[in-house]
Amino acid sequence: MVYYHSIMKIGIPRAGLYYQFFPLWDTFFKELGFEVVYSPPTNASLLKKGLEYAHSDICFPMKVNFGHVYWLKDKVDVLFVPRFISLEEKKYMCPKFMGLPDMLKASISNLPPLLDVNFNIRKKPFIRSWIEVGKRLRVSANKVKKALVKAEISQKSYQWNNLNGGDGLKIGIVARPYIIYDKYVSAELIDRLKEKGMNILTADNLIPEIINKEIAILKKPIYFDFGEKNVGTALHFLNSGEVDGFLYLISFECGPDSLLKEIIDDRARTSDIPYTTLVLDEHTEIAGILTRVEAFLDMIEYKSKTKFNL
Amino acid sequence: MWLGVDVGSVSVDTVLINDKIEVFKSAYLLTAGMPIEAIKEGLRKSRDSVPVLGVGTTGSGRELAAVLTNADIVKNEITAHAIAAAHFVPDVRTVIEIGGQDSKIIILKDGIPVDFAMNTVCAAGTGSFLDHQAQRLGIPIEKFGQLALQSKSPARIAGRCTVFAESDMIHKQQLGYGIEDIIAGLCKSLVRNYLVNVAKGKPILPPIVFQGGVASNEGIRKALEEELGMKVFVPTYNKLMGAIGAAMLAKKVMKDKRKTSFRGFDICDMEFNTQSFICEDCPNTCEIVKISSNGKVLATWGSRCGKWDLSK
Repeated sequence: MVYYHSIMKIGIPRAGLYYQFFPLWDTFFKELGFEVVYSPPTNASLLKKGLEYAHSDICFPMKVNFGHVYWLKDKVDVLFVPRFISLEEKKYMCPKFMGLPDMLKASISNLPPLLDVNFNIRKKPFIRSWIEVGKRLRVSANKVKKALVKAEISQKSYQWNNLNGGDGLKIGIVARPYIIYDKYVSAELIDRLKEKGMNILTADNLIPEIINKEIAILKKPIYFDFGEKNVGTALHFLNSGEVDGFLYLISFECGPDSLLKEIIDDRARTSDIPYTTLVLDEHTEIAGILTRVEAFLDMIEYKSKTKFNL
Repeated sequence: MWLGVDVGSVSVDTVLINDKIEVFKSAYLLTAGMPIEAIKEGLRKSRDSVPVLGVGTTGSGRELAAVLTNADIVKNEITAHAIAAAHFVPDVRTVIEIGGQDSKIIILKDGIPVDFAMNTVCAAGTGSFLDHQAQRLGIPIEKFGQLALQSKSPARIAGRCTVFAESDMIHKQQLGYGIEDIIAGLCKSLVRNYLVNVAKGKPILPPIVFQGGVASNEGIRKALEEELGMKVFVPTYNKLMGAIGAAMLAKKVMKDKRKTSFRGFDICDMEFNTQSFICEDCPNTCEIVKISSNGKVLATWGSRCGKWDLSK
């Protein structure tokens, strides 16, 4: 049990679903009057700790997550590491998310109490999970509901703006949020492309209707988290020609993505939109990523010409 | 003349090509862990009195070569290889390139690359491993391929991982297999590994051009042809294709540029110093490398944030 006092510090690891829900989480806890402490953006020393404490066979972004928790553990009163089980009807989070609080407790000692509340829409609506979070922090359900209304507004109104403006190439990026928006994990890919004057489009820039329309043609629904969002986005890129080309970033050990990649690869074969996959893990050399990205951009450039024109 | 420099993990290749993309002079040198010396030596060997109109660099060491030569264009090896292949075989559909430590496949359509892949987390089946095995078996790498061709019944070798391939080879030796059968088996397993890892899911259509250092190995080429059931064409300059591509790119870029920025062949006699240090300004603790000559810093790289990069 955690006891509420006015300046309680809540630690939020800048990892995992933080990259999707930070507007909501930030507003929620601040509305309730807590101080929110974030770990810094992923860096080499933080990752080193993550690799030291994480189990060796979990995926790269999860190892990163361990590093963030380690950084926060002595600086906060309580850590917000919920157990994400299912966030959408008929969908499941990957087992690593379900087991994250347990894995953390098993491998990092002297952790502050974890707010490891279950988020499982198959069993109960989120509001009840948030009320439970509030209960553990000694906050009334009423206050939680009020804070949540404001939190949901900030989440909805958050602008995922990756466009540069101008008439540079439009590059799509398909990836889990904790890969693409973690600059260290993604080798600053968005920044690098924007520096070249390109406009970046991710799943978060598309309205759900677009994604759902693409998904509707699949033989059966995808039950992996981010599965439909990412596959739907990729199919939209392939079918609509809204982008000049797109990249799919996956973590080497990602089970769901290794299967989802097959669907995208299959559809990409009959499309002439340039597409390539970049596989990332803790051993990834930035030079290798840049070589592939450079070749990919060349491919787009040459596509607009019939010959190499030499 | 246009100069192309391809600095790979294992070799440094330099070429001088003329207007008709004919190789005028060339050099193929082992990097031997000293890329700067190898680049200088390569340039010394392709040195000529004819004026150099443009310089292009490629390969994993392309930035280094660009700093040394003050290149007009720096290009990744995927594009460079595709360009050279499309020049020598205009209707090429598939480029298979196996180098010292990486391997790639490039799919072309109407003379332009439309898809590619490069080995990601495994370098099994690349030149370095073949070199290592040749050395272990006491066979010069040049004879490796011919020996494989003599095999009547290739041994089955696990190709998933070079560590396991090696233990498998040792085991087969202990069972008494002939050396040619083991080598032929190794060639087959490495080709299988390439096809299921690097080329997986890619439409391999003829004409197929096989280039890179490993293409000199007839055993690998035969195994590729057998596995694909198609003829595989190895160009005359298979080892130099990257460098030729870079030179061709230099030729192209010089159309819009008046004068090459090439430092001149005098760089063969220049001293280049490298110095590395750890930047402690943030928790990333990047390793920074500084390259200088005559007390003048030519380039600095290695930082994640780019703060040490010299403005171009």
